[in-house]
Amino acid sequence: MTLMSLDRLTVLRGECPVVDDVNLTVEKGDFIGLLGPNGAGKTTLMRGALGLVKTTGASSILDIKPAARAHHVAWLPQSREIAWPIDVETIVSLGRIPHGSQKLITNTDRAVVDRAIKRLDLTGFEHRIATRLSGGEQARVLIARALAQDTPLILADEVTAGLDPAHQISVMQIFQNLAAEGKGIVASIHDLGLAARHCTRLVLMHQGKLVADGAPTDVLTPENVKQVFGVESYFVQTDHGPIFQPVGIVR
Amino acid sequence: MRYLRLFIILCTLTSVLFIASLLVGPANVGVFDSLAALWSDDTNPLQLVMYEIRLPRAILAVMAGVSLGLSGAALQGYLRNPLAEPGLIGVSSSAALGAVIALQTGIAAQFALGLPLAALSGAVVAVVLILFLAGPRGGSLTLILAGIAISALAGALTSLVLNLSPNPFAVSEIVFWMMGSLTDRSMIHVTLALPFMILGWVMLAGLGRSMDALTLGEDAAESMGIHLTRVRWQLIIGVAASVGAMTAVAGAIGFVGLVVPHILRRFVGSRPSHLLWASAIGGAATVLAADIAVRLILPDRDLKLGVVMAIIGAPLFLHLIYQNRRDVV
Amino acid sequence: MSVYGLLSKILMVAALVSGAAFADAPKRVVSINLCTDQLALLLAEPRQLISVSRLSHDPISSAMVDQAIAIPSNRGTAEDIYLLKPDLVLAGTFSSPATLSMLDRLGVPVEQFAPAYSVADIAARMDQMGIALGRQVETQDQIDAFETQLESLRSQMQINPRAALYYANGYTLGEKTLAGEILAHAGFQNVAKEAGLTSGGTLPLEQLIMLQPDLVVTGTRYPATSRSEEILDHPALDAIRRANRKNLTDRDWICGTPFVLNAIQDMRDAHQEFGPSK
Repeated sequence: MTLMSLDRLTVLRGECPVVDDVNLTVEKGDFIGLLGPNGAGKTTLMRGALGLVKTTGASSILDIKPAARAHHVAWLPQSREIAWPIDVETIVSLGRIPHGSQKLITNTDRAVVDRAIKRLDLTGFEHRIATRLSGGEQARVLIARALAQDTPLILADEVTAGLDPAHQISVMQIFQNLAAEGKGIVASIHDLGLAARHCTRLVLMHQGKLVADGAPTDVLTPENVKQVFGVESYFVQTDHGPIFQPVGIVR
Repeated sequence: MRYLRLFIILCTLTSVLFIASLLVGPANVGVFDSLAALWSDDTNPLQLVMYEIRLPRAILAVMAGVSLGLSGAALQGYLRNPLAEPGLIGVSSSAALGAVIALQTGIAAQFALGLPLAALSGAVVAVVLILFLAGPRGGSLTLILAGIAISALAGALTSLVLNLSPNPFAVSEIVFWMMGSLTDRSMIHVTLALPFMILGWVMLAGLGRSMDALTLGEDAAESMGIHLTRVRWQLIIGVAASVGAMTAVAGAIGFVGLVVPHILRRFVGSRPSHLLWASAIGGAATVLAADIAVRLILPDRDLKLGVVMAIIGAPLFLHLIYQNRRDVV
Repeated sequence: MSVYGLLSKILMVAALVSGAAFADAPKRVVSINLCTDQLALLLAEPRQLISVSRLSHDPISSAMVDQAIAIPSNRGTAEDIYLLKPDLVLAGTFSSPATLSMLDRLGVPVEQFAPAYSVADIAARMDQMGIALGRQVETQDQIDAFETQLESLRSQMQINPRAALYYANGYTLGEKTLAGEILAHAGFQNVAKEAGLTSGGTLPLEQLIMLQPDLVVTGTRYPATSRSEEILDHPALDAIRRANRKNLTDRDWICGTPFVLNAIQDMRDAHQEFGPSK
């Protein structure tokens, strides 16, 4: 089942297209790694798809009524903002806002929030103040918040940035499992190795355009990587799964 | 409800202060006589004093407190900045300018609603300007600088209008408009301000969900189905209506919207939606207490409410700026 | 003869005998205070007074606006005054000290008049003005006429209703003030005394209500709105003075001049409503 389809989506900043004529579909079970150098338009593509910036072209999400959109897709912005010293459980339960009144937390809400907390390994942190946690812990709290929104589709921006290797892997595994359960995930990632190992599909962007879309081996070809990122790379299948490593700058 | 205890404590405190407010006054009357006069039917001077002087004063203190507490909490929730407060960002002084213009041009005399409407318009201009200047994420520096500029301009123009007045008393009233006072207000003022305030309160009280969502930033809030443009307008009209109407009858009272949410934030787990109602009740208690204080400290002088609030609020404000600076660095 | 009739006669006499000014009398007199304006207008010979304060042209404050309007007004600043080349400046003791010391440095002679704190002060101020203007003879006639009239207005009342003088900002005047003496002269008790005020001071509204005065005397309202005057419209004040209120004409009460007789006459009229006088 298709969770999101973009048809010739374009976002202009002034005259200049930041996202240029992108076609993309996200199916159930997809864990898409959105790759591209800084300024390739990854964030803007996702924000455009969500209707947070003005676009031309079509995004299937914009066909959903604004009020119902939040039931279909959850968004994890890169900024990881938590403005007030609120406890973890309350932050996670903010994800239930689209599902009804804030005042009365229903049993369903409770169950969904608890599941999200468990899933992100935050048990025992429920009553800790979120703003006093480490960056990695805060990132997990915010992912749990997005999970609590209980949507079939999740878009996440730079979700592993600033996390230590263990947390990076655990976050990727959580997304992997969610996709396996039938959700669709689109996550922009800078760590190509991490993306190659965990994502079911990779989408490569360059200067606003979508230049490759497919399985990791089809997308992270030496030519693509050289052209888009300007680096030489080493990509090999091993007993430990695929290993991708950039090895040098193209002169 | 998790915060039932806080709710009961705040309501009890407000009720006690409300009754205390009815008992404090220059006419030395016993506690029981005063309260009995509220229920007596015959018209004697004491009953007149209780109904026409002390009751409106206490009611106005509650109304002003609710308006200021609620506006402060809502502005802070929207801008995600604990320094946002109607007085500091120039909303109150702009409302005062509107009120003074209405009074001195005779608009207020021609139709009764002219006064609160003019004050409301002044407040709208200030809130819109602040939201425009400070941007969606109200940075402390821009917020404070914009607030200083707007307050200074509105204050100067208020002085100008009062200086141009043909009434010899008008000039000396600048201090009332800048500092606020509830002395000798009447039920006329209560009925004039109340409809606007209720409109404002309803607008602001409906912002709880959006404020909670905004904790995670504008993008996250919008993706959770919060309509940001509507939130912005609801905030502008809510703050302008409640603070505008309040300023029109009582002058500008500063710092309430800063002090009250700051004290109560920890008791509601910093959750912006809970802070709204808590600050509303807490604001009422604070203004009642300040208004009792002005009558006890200097009974035979008309000490301005804003003076007491500034003495309490300014050190806290400085502390917040210090904390804010440390967080940024 | 009515008070008004007497006053107009005084003015006529003043005009007729004015030729007899002393040789060393000042020729160019400038007044910068509302009360010295009026005393000078009463006592100076024509063209001796060349400028009056701006307030004298205001009908609410000035009892002699008709006469004052014929004379140019000044703003009361040293520069303004000096350019008029006066040989005498009439000022109040509360006139701006900066202005007075500047005039002193410029060598302009200044005569200062204290405000009248009592009815008895009026004759003393008139006398001071007569000497300053070099018109002692005419002044003595007017003082005599004033004192005769004053004596005839002295209250012989048996009933002494309790009255309150109430102004903007809840200000009241006690018995040791000119206004308080006017009230007493017309046969009223002043409730300010019961509140412990003998001179001027703030009487909180609720204290006034609790004192239940028989009569509340309030001042003339100035144009445009002021919060200070809003207290005079307070419903509680309305409730107690619905039957017994009196708006006095400020201009007759402000300065220690023979116009105080008008104020006393007004208050005697108000007194009639409380019962017959002896």
